[in-house]
Amino acid sequence: MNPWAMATAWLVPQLLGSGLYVLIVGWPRQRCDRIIAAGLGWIVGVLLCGVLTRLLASADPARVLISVSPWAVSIGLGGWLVAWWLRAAPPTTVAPQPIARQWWPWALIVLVLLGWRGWLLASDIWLHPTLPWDAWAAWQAKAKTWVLAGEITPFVSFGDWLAHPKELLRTGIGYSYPDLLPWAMVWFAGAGGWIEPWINLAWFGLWVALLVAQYGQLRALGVAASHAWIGVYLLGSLPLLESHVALGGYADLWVAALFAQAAFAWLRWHCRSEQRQLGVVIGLIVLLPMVKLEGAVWAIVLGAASVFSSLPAWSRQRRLLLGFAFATTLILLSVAFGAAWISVARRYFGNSGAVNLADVSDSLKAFSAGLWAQGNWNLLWFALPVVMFGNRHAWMRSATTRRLAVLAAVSFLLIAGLFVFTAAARYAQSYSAVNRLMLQLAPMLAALLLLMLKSPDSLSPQTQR
Amino acid sequence: MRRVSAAAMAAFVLALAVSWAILLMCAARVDVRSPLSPAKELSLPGSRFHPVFGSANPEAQHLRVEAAAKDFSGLQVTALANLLASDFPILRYHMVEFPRTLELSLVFRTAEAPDDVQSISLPRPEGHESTFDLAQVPAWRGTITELGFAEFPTAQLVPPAAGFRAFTLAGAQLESLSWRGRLATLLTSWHERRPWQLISVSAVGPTETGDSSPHAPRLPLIFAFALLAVGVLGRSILRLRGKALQPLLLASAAIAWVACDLVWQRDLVYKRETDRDVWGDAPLAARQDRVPDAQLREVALHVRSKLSGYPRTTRVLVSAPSPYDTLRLIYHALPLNVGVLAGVDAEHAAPGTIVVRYADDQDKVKDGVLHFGGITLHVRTVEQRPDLGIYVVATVPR
Repeated sequence: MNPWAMATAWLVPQLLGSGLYVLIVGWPRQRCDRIIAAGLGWIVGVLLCGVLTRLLASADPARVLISVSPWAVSIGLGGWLVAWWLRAAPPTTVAPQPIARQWWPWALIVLVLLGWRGWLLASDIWLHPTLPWDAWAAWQAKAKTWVLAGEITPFVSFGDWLAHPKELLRTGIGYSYPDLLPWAMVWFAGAGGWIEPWINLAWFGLWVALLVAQYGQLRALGVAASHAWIGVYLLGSLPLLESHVALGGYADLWVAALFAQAAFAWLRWHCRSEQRQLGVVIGLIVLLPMVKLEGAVWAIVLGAASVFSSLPAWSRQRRLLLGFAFATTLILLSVAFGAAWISVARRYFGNSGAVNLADVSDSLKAFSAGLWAQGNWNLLWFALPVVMFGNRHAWMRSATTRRLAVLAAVSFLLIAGLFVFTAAARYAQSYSAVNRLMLQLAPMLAALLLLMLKSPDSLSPQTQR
Repeated sequence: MRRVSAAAMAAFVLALAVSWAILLMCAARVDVRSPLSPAKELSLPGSRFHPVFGSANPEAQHLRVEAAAKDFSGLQVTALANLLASDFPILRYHMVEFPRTLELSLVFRTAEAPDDVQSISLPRPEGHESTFDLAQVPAWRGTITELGFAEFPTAQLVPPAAGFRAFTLAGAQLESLSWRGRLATLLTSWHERRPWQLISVSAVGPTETGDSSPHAPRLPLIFAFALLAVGVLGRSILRLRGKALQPLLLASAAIAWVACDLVWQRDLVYKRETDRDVWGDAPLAARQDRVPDAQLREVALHVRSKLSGYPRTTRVLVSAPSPYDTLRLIYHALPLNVGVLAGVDAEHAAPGTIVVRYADDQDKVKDGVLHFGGITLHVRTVEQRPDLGIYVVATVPR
């Protein structure tokens, strides 16, 4: 493999994503925004390189780096230049800040613990081909087809595929899954062809970028540096999350990253009056359903939260009604336009009559086992309820923490309801999909645990970040 | 901060030690009526076992297992003189240089059902003695007449041909119930490390989808109860409340979190080492060619080469004995335009469609007619061999 091509495949998304981020939020004067631009920028950049791959390299994926890079670099550089051009004048008076160095020991400990693990994960990914079932059967089957066939062609249902034998169509068990992640895999394959360890290394990049972005967002929300480092460790030490990194190929970690980052941006917009963060929220809401069908549900949750937040004071008493109306409208629009997630929801809810009390009990047991009896989450699910209850007087005073708690609770209840009361219960009982869906909340919950322990709102907004 | 007297601190430490010891005994399911050490022991030196599959030679008191059988598995057994299962519920076993790429099972036969061979997955031995509690295994009942160890390459991870490496069966021991046996079982369970498995991406802990086999409580759960004891005793003995109790709990939780994490990292090291054993000597681009289903890959590559001259629009319908085999065959056959044969109906199997049947026990094509799933197709045979048939649909009878 050509090292220049490898570097291009990893660095161009960084430039593209970070450029778009600063274009939206403005020139990053604060350190935390530069850190977020690096982390979230890479994640979004990879996905947008996937979009550009579909738009510009469908006919010849082997040359994707040549076809897409100039555009991606131009957009990324353009974003940085425009942000610099439009930058606001720096504040004329800056309050003197005490130079805080106490976070260095924490940073060092976390870097050692996570650095060792990072090496383990990266070197393991580099060793093995794609292993987990859905990764090769659904997600990578599309990308492998396109790379080896030398063109990006549509995947359709088995019936449509058979019914139109003269058309160049494809089929597979993941035909209805969104194409964005497979497009992104084609982008990475542009650096050396279909080499599974190399393509799966993107999940290591995602892990690093997620931790970097998590640190930046915690700082942006007013968390002290030492606590933010601990927050990064909390997230980086969750076993199931690391399994998804080492066994790359699933979309859940991408959804988790986008959902959490969108939630943090929403908090910054809503609680800290950073108006431009709404642009980040909207951008991530658009990307979520393009990665995985469940992303549509999180997009609706975030959309409803954003609409709530933007309601004028007089309507606050009617929030529930308006939120319900908003969610109903979105669902009706999805039904009208035949959004794919609706058929998945139908499958689960349509058969929910078949779920009986014994099933509910078994599902609850299995669901609880996933949270407490297995080794998926270290001590996260023990600590969350204890801190939530034990420290309630402290964190309830923090608007930021309270709102994140409500968002996390709504998301958790949606998953619990799905896996306990609908036909999806069988996935809870088999320990399969249920924990993967909980993974989609993990970055948000790790941050929530930290915020409940040490809520930031008591700090001045001027605190150095 | 409130000052704590030395006596209160000593009482706290003592109470904590006692509560943690009780917790450990509960986790190990220690029967307080049982003796500290086993009353009965039956020693089974490695040299007593003989190979049934694979080859092995006695070396002093041990058995050196040199090679696997043709199907890449190994089995070493020994006869027992009508041993009552209920008298010996604890198994200790010791193997040296046991490869990370193999799975280990205990196999046994009972006098009550001499034709049935029972099999139980065992924790992988790692050079020291391992212990397993057979009392929780429903099949460990009656009179045991034969007992042995079976090894086979880790499913859906290790290419069968790359799985076996020589190892030594040092020996085994059956024991009656005791505190020592149950505690050793718990320690083995916590000490056990596993390679990546099919379920690893869905859950950390269960060994398979819907795993209902008995497991010792996992470390996070035990640590949570240990922390609960810290909190309760801190309140009741040290009289700490609210913010005064917080530092103690936070420090304990931090230690517990890092401890869980270190145990998980140890497991990650093992998983990586297993992967290195399997793929470490292959060049990067060739690692995806070394797969656990090498046979399926070989068949898929053969089909790909046979169909290389067909247009890209040609539909290829595949059938294989299991959904896993079918989907893997499809994945290896890409970029052929492939789908699953099982879902097809006669109306839509247009002339020119290719049908690939691998290891399919159904009727072979006779006189150009292929029957499957209640439909009939007239086909032309591209290739037909015992394990594989490749056909082109000629016409579909109405």
